Amino acid sequence: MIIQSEGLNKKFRGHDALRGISLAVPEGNIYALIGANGAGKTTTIKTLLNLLAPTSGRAEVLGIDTRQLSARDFARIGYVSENQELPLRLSVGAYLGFLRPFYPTWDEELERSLVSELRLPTERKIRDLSHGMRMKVGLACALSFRPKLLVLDEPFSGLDPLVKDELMSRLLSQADEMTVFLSSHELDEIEASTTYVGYLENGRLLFQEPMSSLAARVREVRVTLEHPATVPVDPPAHWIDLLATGNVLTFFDLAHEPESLRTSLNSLFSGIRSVDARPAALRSIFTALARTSSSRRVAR
Amino acid sequence: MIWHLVRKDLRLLWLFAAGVAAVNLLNAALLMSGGAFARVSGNEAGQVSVVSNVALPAIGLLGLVLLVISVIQLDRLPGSSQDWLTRPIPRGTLFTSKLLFVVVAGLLPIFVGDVAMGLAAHFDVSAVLVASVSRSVALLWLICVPAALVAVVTATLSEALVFVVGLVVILIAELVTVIELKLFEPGWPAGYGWIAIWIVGLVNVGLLVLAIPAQLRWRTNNRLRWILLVVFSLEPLIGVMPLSVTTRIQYVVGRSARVPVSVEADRSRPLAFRNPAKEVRGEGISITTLTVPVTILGAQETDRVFVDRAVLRLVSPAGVDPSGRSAREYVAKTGPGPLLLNDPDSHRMRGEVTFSLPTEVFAAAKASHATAEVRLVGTDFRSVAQRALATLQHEPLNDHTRCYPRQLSPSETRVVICESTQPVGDCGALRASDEVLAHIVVNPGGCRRLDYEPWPLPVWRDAYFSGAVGQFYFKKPSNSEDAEPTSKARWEDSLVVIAFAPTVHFLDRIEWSLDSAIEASGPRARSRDGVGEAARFASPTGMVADRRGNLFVVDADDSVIRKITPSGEVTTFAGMAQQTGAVDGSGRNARFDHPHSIGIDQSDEIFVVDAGSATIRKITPAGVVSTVSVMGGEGAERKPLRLKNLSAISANADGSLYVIADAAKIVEDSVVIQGARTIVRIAADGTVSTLAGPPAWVENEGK
Repeated sequence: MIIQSEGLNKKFRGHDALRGISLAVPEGNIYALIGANGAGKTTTIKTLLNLLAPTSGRAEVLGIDTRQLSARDFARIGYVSENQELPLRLSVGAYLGFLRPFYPTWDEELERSLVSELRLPTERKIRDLSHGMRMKVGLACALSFRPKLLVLDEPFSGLDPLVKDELMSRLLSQADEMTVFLSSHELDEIEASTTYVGYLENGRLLFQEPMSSLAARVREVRVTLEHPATVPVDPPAHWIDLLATGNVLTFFDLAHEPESLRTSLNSLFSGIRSVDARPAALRSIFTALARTSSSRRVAR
Repeated sequence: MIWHLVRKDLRLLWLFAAGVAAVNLLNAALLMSGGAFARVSGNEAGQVSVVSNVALPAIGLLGLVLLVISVIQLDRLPGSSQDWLTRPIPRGTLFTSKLLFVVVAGLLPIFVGDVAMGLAAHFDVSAVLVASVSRSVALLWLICVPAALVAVVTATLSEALVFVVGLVVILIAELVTVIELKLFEPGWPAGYGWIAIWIVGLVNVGLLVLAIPAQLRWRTNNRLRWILLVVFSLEPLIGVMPLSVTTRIQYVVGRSARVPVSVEADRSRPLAFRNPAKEVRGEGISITTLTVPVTILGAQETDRVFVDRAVLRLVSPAGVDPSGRSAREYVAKTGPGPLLLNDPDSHRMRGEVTFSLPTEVFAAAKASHATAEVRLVGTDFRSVAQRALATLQHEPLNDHTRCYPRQLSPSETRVVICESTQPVGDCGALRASDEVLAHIVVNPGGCRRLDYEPWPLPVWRDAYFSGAVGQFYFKKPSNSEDAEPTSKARWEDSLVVIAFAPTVHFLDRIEWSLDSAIEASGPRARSRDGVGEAARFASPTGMVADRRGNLFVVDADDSVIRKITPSGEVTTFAGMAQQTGAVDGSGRNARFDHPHSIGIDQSDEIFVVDAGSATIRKITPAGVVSTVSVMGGEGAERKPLRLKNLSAISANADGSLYVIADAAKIVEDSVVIQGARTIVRIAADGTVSTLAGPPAWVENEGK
């Protein structure tokens, strides 16, 4: 595992930002850490990079205890964050020139290629750039030294679709030589390329698994009845986000088994006209999970 | 890699750094052009002086502080979003690069300016470098480190400014409190302020060493800010630590370990009061003078202690003062003045302090069995003078330099003057070590002064500098008309350094019961001839022995010379008890007026300083008294002279006499220096000359 944590906790003045996070990020994957705002994604990343000290628990990155990460280790870790403080008064070219000597693996050819592809204005000062351009600068700096691990914290936040595509395609072009650990709300953009996913809710890691596994076990189910549908009082625990509209009942089955689904439906409903269980998009799963979490909080 | 980081910071802050450098270099240029000696006000040069001595140094130092804060905040410590935290930049390398930036961009221009000033004035290169480096190091130590600490706990320049403003407000409140409560009185003794500076410096460096990793670990600045605010607020109080603490520290560091001067009640002499029923100010207030005998103790390194201030407080057993109001203090009417060492073996000096207070208050106090508390504050001069002398590093200067205490005026700060007794020529350089707290430099003979005071306090007055370690240069401009010798060449060509002695050098309190106070006008001891214990003396002040073993004692108050034979028989050898005058004659026919000192030559002829008549009297072994003539001038100009304030006397084998007398007034750089003492030789023919010290004060006989 290139990233591994056990029981990671972080408190901010009594507030539990992280609650026993146990991550396992296999090498060579694109791992997406998803979750609602305030779920603890940025705190997790900062803790993994030793920018914040965990209250308890431990984590390893590149096989090194995060509290022991040295300057030499950071030469193998790329980090791009939406709120990263870049030296605004330096020009893009000067910034790249400043960073170059610190990375033994810096590839100047790759740097030139990135500057060209991302159309970075090397003479302009960073403070004069838009948010999107700054993210591009950050990504160019992070990719130029061919990191073993690339950590991205909300890299697409606030960017227009064109820039998102540019960043994503550039990222993917090097994805085979590194592990990418990212947090993002932009699930549509990352879904195609993500190989591993972890879901954070209120500081807890609810699940983490390969995307293929997730896609195989989660189905968006649509049941059409011969009479008006109602939400069952006691549905199976792995059915979430149940919604009845007219004769139609929709829900997400988090542990899909065709036989099991059919049995459960027959026991709960009569007059079933049709059942449609199709694979769910990552965005749909996320929103369903988020809605369910929200309604549970309200119910509590 | 370090230079790579420095270049990055320079690229970002070059404009700011250039501005600060320009201010400091401009200041150096102005000082070189003559601003250093201009008076602070009153003329055009004074305006230059205000700019070069006050405004530009202040702006330059502020700029240096902000530059230090800015360069550290480029890679700030508080927070967790900084780019540098996830870059492979070793922390030590980054810290070193910041230090290097401060040295290169902040201190180097100041150093260059200092060196330019020294070289432009044609000073010795090594001395210039030493002075300039010492100032740069002091700035790094005393300015840059605290500024770096502020930068470590703040994220932005505006936050840092808010912190600094808050700190200044606290310090002002603290200063006012200290002054109001008079907490500063004990202070540090002269020459030991360096301990406070070292403590503060070490505390700050220690804080910096701890704060950086703490900030990196916790990423929060609030806790550290409060700690820093508290420490910075407490640091000035180190300067007012009690004397007992400083004494202990002196021993710990092993530097000039010295028992501080203290004072005790002299129980062998009575507490006396005099009530002349004198009405004052036409208001019908009767004044009583209270005379308190005191003894100064522990004056190992001094022969003179000057009591600056004596405060009397009368406290009745009930805890309030006798007048019924809250405790009142009665300040001495006149400055008590110097106390001279009169018991070298035990290093004791005896003296009296006199207070004036309303007779009504005194009477009530005495009736209520009140206690008189007397508190003395004064300066141990000799030790200050020795330290000042020890600081003069210029070898040729040392050979001809001596130091002595002086008071510029009753209300002024007491000083020690170190004077070169030979023309200094090209003037020279002095290095004031950390032994002297501060310095006042006067500028005789047109010598130009460049000061390198590292302690960044403002110039108090045009001639007053506060400094702990500094380098002072004196250079006589080759084109200066003032440099030409005049009739006062001896003084105008001399180099005078005044080492400022803080007034608080010893502080102690003694208590007396007023029950023991006696009327000063009552019976007192009188001389009486007799054998052994039957004999009495009024106030013996000196004695010598002749070759036969007889002792001759000066009995000052009764104005007689007494003789004590080896068998213990005491007789009046010359003069009549309580009969004063200046009458030559034999034995009891002669008259003296409060004789003071006594000497004897190889033929047993006795010489007495007759203080009241300001003459020197000679007594033959047969008891015949005559007056020694004191003459000055040559040929037709030769005439009798009178010396002033004669004290000790010594007779030489060639028939000449040596006495200590007042020196003439000295006017130096508009400052009148009064009361200097000098050693005078009186040849066998009566001709007066100065043996050592400034010219003697003389006036024609009969004036």
